Amino acid sequence: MSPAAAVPDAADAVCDGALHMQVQQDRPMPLAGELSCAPGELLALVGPSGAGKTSLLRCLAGLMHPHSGRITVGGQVWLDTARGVCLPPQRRHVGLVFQHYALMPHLSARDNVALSLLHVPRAERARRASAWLEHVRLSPEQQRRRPAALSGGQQQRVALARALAREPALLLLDEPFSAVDQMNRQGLYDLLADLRQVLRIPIVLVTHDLAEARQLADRLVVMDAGRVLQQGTPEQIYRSPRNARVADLVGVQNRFAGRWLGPLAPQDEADAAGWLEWLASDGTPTGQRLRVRDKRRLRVGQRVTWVVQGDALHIGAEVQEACAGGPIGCVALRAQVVARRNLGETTFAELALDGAPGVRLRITRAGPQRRALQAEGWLQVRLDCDWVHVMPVRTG
Amino acid sequence: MDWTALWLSVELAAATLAVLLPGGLWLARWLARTRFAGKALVEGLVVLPLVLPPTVLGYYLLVSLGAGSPIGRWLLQTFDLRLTFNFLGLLVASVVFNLPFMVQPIQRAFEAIPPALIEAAAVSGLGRWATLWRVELPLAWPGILSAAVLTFVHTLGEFGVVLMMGGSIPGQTKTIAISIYDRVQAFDLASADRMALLLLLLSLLAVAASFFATARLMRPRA
Amino acid sequence: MGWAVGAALAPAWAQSQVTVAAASDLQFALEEAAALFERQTGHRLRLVFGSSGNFFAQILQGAPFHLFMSADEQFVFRLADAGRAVDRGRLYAYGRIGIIVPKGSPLKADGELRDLAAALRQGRLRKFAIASPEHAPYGMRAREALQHAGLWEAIQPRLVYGENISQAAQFATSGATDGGIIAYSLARAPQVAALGDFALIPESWHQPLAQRMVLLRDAPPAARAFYDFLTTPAAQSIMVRYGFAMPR
Repeated sequence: MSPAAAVPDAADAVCDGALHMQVQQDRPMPLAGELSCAPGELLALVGPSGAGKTSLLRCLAGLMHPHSGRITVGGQVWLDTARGVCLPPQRRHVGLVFQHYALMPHLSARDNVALSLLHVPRAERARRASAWLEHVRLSPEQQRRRPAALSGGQQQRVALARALAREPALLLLDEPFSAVDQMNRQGLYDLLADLRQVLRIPIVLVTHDLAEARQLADRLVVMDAGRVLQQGTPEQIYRSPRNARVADLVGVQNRFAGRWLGPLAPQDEADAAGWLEWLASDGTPTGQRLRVRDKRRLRVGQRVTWVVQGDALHIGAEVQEACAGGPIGCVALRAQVVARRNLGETTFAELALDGAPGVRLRITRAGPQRRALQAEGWLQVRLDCDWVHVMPVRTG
Repeated sequence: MDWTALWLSVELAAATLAVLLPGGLWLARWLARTRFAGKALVEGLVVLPLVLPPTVLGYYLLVSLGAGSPIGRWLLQTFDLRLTFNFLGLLVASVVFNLPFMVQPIQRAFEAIPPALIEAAAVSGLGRWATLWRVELPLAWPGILSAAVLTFVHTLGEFGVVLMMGGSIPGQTKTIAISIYDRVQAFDLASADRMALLLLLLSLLAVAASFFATARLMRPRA
Repeated sequence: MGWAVGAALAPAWAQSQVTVAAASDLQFALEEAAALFERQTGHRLRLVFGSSGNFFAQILQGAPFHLFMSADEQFVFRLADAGRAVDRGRLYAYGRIGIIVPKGSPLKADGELRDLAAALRQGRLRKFAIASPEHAPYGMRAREALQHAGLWEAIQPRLVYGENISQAAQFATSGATDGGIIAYSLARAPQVAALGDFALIPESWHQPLAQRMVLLRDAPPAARAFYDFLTTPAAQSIMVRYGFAMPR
């Protein structure tokens, strides 16, 4: 993914309502990346604090001017540093929902929403504002209240209504649910999901909550230190993180060291498979070898990092089920629970691999399936090798 | 009771307010919103009259604006205008002297507005004037009121500057504070007492009003 | 708005009212004389009292006074030399100084300052008020008198200075000091006389307080009328009542 590649003109000529963005700057903070979002699609920007997610969002809103970049929405050029075009936020039809709501404390909920409707005659303004507030499920009595008299969840709904009343071409949400308590959050997720059916505009959501991102987004954009590292559907990213850093950022728990042995038998070539020697983090062999997909990107003997999603590890009763690995197959492992943490309905466990106690498998189970993790002694663990994703070790 | 002097003081205070309110508002907002090299210097200059002895200010104004100075001579020749020993001169001095009283509280009031609100206004489509009118002023008005009241009261009691460059001319530059001073020297303590008490009450009232307004600003909005 | 007020006020006032800058020792005497003049002629006067030295400086800076009544003729001569006055003015009175002690003061009102000297020697003098010798003529004369009595050095640490002779009189009679040297014309006023005991200091102890008045440039005719009025017998009898000596 090369930053600063010019977006071809053909793409903007199509008035498809899509967002295309590309920015580049070194100072005052480094930012580099390119992303696109189709109308009706929800794109989540994820990454640690300081990754530049909010900065990117602010560039989209027009609150920040990158040193160089290009932003088009629905064919309209919002920013083009090469040609000196930079629309102020007022001229971009953008809706922005802030983390801490940013509602005017001196106005009622309805008047707050009416701020987006100043281009509409006054009588019409109040009616439309009320309509939008009903859309976000605020009662008429609540609409008259000032923000201080509303809960966090309600305030965020008002903020959403204010953003939508603008009838924006692009909706931006900056960690909108982080200041809302858990109880109200699910309600807001549902609201957003419902609104998406109606709004056919690109939506960009910034969040550091990966679970939230996975639940809401069609596609993820993983960022770190100002750079876009990987874009794709959540499944793609979790399954095949581009490198160890992305794996860390999206919280892939099972990351191991290895050495690529490549195909060792003619059958391997036929199945597009290769062998992977499982190493401990200090480089010592565990004695395990895994047969995994060969994407023909690695050299024999190369040191690699490999990850596997939690879904690929089966314990307890699941072990008996058929291996879903296809031609690649599964492998049976022996491991023992060495650490266990219970959080409500969920249990997080660390299992030490037989023969290589330094290697830890991390397995999470919720509900009745937790029982399998309560057992003492050696456990059978089945690893679906089809899910194993191998990456070269990042040098430098 | 020197009603002429009292009226003159009220006129001076009102005139100072009329000049300083729009100007101070603009300056305070600019200082609150903008960052630029040399901002500390500008803020220092605004605060300077606060720490400057009134007589020093009066002296400098006398010397730089009086009939003997280049500016004074130019004003006299071009507009037939004097800036010393008359109401206009007092007004100039008063505006300079009250700058920190007007600018600082308003600047704080604008700074207290969360930047996110200004940004929210911008993305909602509000231009600069609409943002000022619908968002900033409604939130900053207690600070503005406080500044206006303080400036008014401070001007009412002005003495040092007026003494230096006023000339104590009744009806022109003999403000109520000067009048009190004058009555004491004329051994008319009864008159001085009455005027001093009135000034005290007015000041107390104004300060109480300004505190009330400031408390409004601090209280979380219901 | 202030512009309009100021600009409107300035010329209007200037024309209708004669403004007199008068030395503070004339506080009471001139009020009476001015009241008489206003009754007789209908002209309105604005009297501003202060230290002669201050007025001198202000007039040089362009202060819009019409008539300057100084307690020291030097200031008048200097103004005339600077081209600010229409002529070299006229002597209108001689002033006198004296010691005043407020009620309850440990000092005695002795015009030859013997009790003052004793108090200094015995270390029982708290504070003593005179007008500022820098710019108030009565202050300068008080200094001369104290020097003549050989008390100037000793009394220095005990002195408080009034900005003009009226303020000095305020300090001297307020009880915050043990007394002071003030103008005879002020001590003659009932309001002041009631506050303490007064004794004249011999004229020979100091330079004469030759009080001179002068019309300033652009003074309206009413100012000249008052200027002339002040040398009429009616006006002079008021002055004499307040302890001024008339020039021959």
